[in-house]
Amino acid sequence: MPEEKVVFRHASRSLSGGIVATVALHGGLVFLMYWSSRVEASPEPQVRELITTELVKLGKPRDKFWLPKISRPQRSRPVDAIKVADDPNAAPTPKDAPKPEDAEISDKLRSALSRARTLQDVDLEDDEEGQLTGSELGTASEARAGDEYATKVNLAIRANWNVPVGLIPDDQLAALTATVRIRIESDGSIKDAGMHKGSGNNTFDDSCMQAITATAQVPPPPAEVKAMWAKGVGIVFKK
Amino acid sequence: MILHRSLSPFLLAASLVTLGLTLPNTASAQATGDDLPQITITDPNRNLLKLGIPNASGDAALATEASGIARRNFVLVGLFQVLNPVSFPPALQAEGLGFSSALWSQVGAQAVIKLEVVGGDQKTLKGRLYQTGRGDKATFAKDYRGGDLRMLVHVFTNDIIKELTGETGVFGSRIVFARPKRELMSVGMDGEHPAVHTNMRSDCLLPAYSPTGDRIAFTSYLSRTPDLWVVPSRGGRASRVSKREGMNTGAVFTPDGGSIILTMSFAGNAELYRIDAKTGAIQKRLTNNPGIDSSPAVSPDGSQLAFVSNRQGTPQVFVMPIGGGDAKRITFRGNYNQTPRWNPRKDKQQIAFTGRDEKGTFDVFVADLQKNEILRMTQNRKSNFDPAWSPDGRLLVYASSRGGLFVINPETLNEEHVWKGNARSPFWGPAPSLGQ
Repeated sequence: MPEEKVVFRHASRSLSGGIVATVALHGGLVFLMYWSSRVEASPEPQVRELITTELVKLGKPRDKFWLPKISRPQRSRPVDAIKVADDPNAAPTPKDAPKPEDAEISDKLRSALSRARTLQDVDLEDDEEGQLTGSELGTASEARAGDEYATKVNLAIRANWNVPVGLIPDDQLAALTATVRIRIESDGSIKDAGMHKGSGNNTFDDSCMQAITATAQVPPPPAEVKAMWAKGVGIVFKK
Repeated sequence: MILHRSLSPFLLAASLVTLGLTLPNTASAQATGDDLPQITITDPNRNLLKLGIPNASGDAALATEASGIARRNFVLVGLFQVLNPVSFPPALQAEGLGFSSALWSQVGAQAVIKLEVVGGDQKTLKGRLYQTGRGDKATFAKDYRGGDLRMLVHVFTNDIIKELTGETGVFGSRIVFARPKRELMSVGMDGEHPAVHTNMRSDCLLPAYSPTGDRIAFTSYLSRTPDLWVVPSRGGRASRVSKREGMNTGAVFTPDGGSIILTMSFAGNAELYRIDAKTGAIQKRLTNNPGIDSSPAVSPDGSQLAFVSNRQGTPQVFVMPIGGGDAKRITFRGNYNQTPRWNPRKDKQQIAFTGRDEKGTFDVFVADLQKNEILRMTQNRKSNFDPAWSPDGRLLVYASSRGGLFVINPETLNEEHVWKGNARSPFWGPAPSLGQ
């Protein structure tokens, strides 16, 4: 009997130690899984699609019998708006003569009109909500820091991306995609650029790497996204 | 009890295995590029490749000459925007054959050509190509030796074009052309090294090289009638091949060089015939209709013939089998289309021709038979006519009322003036064999 007690005591000690260790390890596991899910759930920069439109000119259509013309895209010029006040031929703006107050209008009616004008002003303010750095064509009232920074990087690199015309025809270009991996330092300098996935066309791949080399520096990443961008970013080039 | 004793090590081991599987997964998720945040950049700029060609190093006079020839060559092919060397800072000019991709990127260069010339009877040209997207090492390096510096630069240019496009250039090839009331003449495709091929003292018209470039067929009024002659391109006596009554004009060689297809009117109406290139004996009559058939052009595979006919009222371009047969009209726009020339590339079913637009101006067009469309090459630059393809099918040469000959790249529409004298009916000879 005493022997049995000793055995039981040893067994219960080792069992409790094992359970403590297992619980501790599983607790650690749960923490690791939670941490990894936090990392994976980090917000990814998104790129907005730019949509452009062209208006057809007013005029007589050209007879299709004739040989084609070379049509070059014309740069849009801002239309010079003529203000009425600046137009020397414009009639002077009539000024409303002050009218005597109508004694028939009741206080309630005057109050209702005042309220309507106030509501109208509020509506106008709602329509103009946005950001000082936003676009007239934008639809969102505000942007997340990652999105805004991704757009800046996009514009900086795109300005230096030239796919040589003549060396790659348009029909070939449509099928080419390449991904260059870069790292952005806290001061915005581009480091460790390398081709991650080539397109199979050396000239196209060269143009992508040339765009990165020529850019060299982008705006410094904002503090809230710095950590994510420091790990690296894939720049996907495609038509 | 035994169960309890064995359970705790098992639980520990299981936990460690699970932990071991979890940790590497977490690490690898950050290591692969696909899991990084991505920015997609679309709608690239579509300009010519920006090419820097700083002054060559080595023998000063030869270096200046070599740099000038190279800049002219790379502009002429219409694929490159050769950057003005004045904009290069001294540090770039002093690099010699070395290269810094970071510095050249700052001046906007995508590729850079470096040359070094060593003088003497046998000159040495050291040529290098660098690409700013590929670091500081040359992507092409070769040394050339020879007596003619221009030819050395031409060979280097052809090699660089091959390096960048996959197909060698055709510098060293020649363009033959007629001059009203004067002798036939040819120039290199860069407009240099002119040569006169005839001494007929009469109008020499519509020249055409043989496939190997050893002969030139043309029409001369030496006997006051338009007869067909052939002259060796490297000098020698011209021989009359056809002097039949009426016209013997618009000759082109067949791809084997053994026959000539031309327009003859001895039977009363202008029709196309195939004759023996040496004896002039008629091998076959190819057309037979009341309209005028002229300006034959053979397809690169030798199976078809493009020509001009007014059989449907106005001069239009038709295509038919090389041996004659049903002709298919390919131009339906404009009322005066003539001088067709097939693109020698077999993968491009293209025919260049001269067309008259609604303003009465002649311009150069290309009919793409695969895409079933017509592309305009020239516009608002006076009249331009008589196009002919380069042997690689990348360029077109044509005459212009602005004077002389112009070369255009149909892809980029980049145009260069290559010959400023009087010129008509240019014909581009075969690709050169400039082995080093």
